[in-house]
Amino acid sequence: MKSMICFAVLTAFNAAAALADQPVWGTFNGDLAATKFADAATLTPESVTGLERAWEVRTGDVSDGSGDVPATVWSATPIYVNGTLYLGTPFYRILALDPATGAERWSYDTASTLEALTQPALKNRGVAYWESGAEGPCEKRVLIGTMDATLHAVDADTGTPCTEFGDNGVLNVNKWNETNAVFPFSLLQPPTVVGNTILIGWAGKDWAYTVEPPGNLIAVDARTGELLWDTGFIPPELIPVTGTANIWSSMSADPELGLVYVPVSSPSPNYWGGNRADPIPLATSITAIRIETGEVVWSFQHVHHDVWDYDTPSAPTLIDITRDGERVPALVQTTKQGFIFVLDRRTGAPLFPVEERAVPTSDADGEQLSPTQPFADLPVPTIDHVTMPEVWPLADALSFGQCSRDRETYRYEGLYTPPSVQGTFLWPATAGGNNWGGAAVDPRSGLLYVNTSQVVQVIRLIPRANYEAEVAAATADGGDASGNEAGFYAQEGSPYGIELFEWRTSLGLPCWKPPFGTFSAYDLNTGEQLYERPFGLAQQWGFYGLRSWGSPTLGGPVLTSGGVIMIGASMDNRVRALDAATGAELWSDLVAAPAVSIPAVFTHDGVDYVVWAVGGNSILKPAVADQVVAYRLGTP
Amino acid sequence: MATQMLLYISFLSALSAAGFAVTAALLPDTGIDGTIGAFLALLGACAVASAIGLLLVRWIPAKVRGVFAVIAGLVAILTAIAAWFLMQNALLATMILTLLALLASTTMPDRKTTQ
Repeated sequence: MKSMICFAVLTAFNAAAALADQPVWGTFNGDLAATKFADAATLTPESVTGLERAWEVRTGDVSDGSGDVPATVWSATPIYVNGTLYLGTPFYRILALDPATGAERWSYDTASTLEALTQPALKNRGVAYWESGAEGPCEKRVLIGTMDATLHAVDADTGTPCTEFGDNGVLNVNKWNETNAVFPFSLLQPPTVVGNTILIGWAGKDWAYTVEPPGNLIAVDARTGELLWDTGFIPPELIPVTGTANIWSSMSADPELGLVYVPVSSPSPNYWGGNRADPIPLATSITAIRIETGEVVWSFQHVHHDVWDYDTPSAPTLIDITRDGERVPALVQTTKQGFIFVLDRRTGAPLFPVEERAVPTSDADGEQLSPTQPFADLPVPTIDHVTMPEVWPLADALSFGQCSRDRETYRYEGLYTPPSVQGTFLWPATAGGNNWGGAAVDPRSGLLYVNTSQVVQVIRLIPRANYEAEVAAATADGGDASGNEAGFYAQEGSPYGIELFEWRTSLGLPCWKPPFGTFSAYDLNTGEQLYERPFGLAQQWGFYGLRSWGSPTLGGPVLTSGGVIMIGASMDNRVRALDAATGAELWSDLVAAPAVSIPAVFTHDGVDYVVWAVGGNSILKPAVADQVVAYRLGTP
Repeated sequence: MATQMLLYISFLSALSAAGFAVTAALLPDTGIDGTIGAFLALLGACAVASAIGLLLVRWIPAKVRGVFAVIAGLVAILTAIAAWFLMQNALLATMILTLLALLASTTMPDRKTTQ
């Protein structure tokens, strides 16, 4: 009975799309439906120019990697619940702050090893929250994961470990990492809490191995940490030869349907699939899983036999839309490829046509690509994936034709051109298109808002026999032997290592024509694109690009009920307010690094706040920070 | 006298620009701190200030002063362009003032020849 009451309380608390009018910001995406819609009515296009800094906090948990501590990447969304603002840091600490002043109420240190065990940097995307509905110690809890695979539960009022959870408040999630355990289950994304169930995905080490831990979703009891179920995504017979197809990003859930929607990534190795010719139907998919049992209810695979690392990058957004005159409970998935898939969230059936189209073939040893891939022309894709961007004449001229020569050198025959020894343009790049920031929606109108990167990379397969020599040669020249979304990667156990790099001139200018990033809006009822504008400002050596060039973008938008988009996500260290109706920039503020995060937008004591964790991410530029900055309108 | 006054204005403006460039390059959270662009702008502002400072030295021959003036003007233009792309408005404004004062000083008739 108690658990039923608790489930009901949390179901109401987490509120699905149409109910996203709570003043809290209780999850990574604001609510369980991942709407990123905030009932902050005072933040309107007219008022938002009056946003002022309410407070700023430096956590101290930052490293540029020059010393003993690895560099940090901080993409946390603060959560506002229980009258408190909670943050996870890249040193795996929890901070509980006063939302009005930023004053620290308590902090908790996981004492996690500060080693980059699976990622190029120490990384955190925040914390999660659970409450039972009862009063007393640890009836409200904050949860944080660590890179070394532990999940900590502490009392939300005091920061004291909840001893009945796991082993004195610490759950060793790696105890379930029993197969092909070449790396730990890194818990960088906060888990998803639905009722009394904590749903845990994990991140691994990209592009390193062929045989890796098989991807799964782990459900544990929120009170005790006991395993409830474990659903795997790799067919058992393929587990000896491949791995991952894991969930490293956030999830969404519909408590009424009893389903959690998980974004499943690609299997290993990421850029060659000769080891996994048999189908892996749940890989690179959106999969609906019954929360009670772990049963897979439906799955929609949006890349067959993925060799592009086009992981499903973000929580699907749940929203009810109108199709053929009927209200339909829908699920919207933005993807790295730039497709916006709209599905019936009860069945997984597409609500706009999805067509299997023939795609290019591979000449890599042992590779057996899928002859077709799913394409959706509606809603209009966020990028033009039919033709890659033209050579940028400015960069071409300044590089004395290098860009044009590259265009002739590397292979591109449209979306899903496979990696090759000669080199293949990866368009969109491995980080997308659209990434973990996902989209924001307006549940009232069915409109969707999303930021998109327009970046071209080159992926080159390097035969195993040459790999070590090439890496040695590159590092001897001062090249980058490994890094974040670029460099050399071994794919140990496969016939090919890889080199991945952005298509740039030797001076660092992008070879492809701008814009480098856009912001766009869609009507999900019709699939129509309402507008697309360059977003943000690119930056190189400190110099800003023109407004029409835009910026590559990482992080996500939030829509206020007053009609304003709040977004960081740009190279230029700025957070912005956009007019949701037009995409026009209304307000901006300079912060300490790119705010590669989703802001929390909430109402505290009657005042609307917007809070960003500003931490940087080397995918955009080599800048790090430890800044938490809060904005409100004027002085309350 | 007016020429000298304009040169002083130009010099002080260039010094101010150098100050703004130091601030932008070295203080945290300016959006460009520690970048190549910021240090180029700092170098440019310092070069302009130095060149104009030399123009204020009376014993330097006129031909050499002319060379310094041209260098100062060109570098000021480049620094102003850099400031615009660095979004450093104070640096941009002071560089424009430097340039205008420098130009005015060079076009101002010499008092000795007009008397």
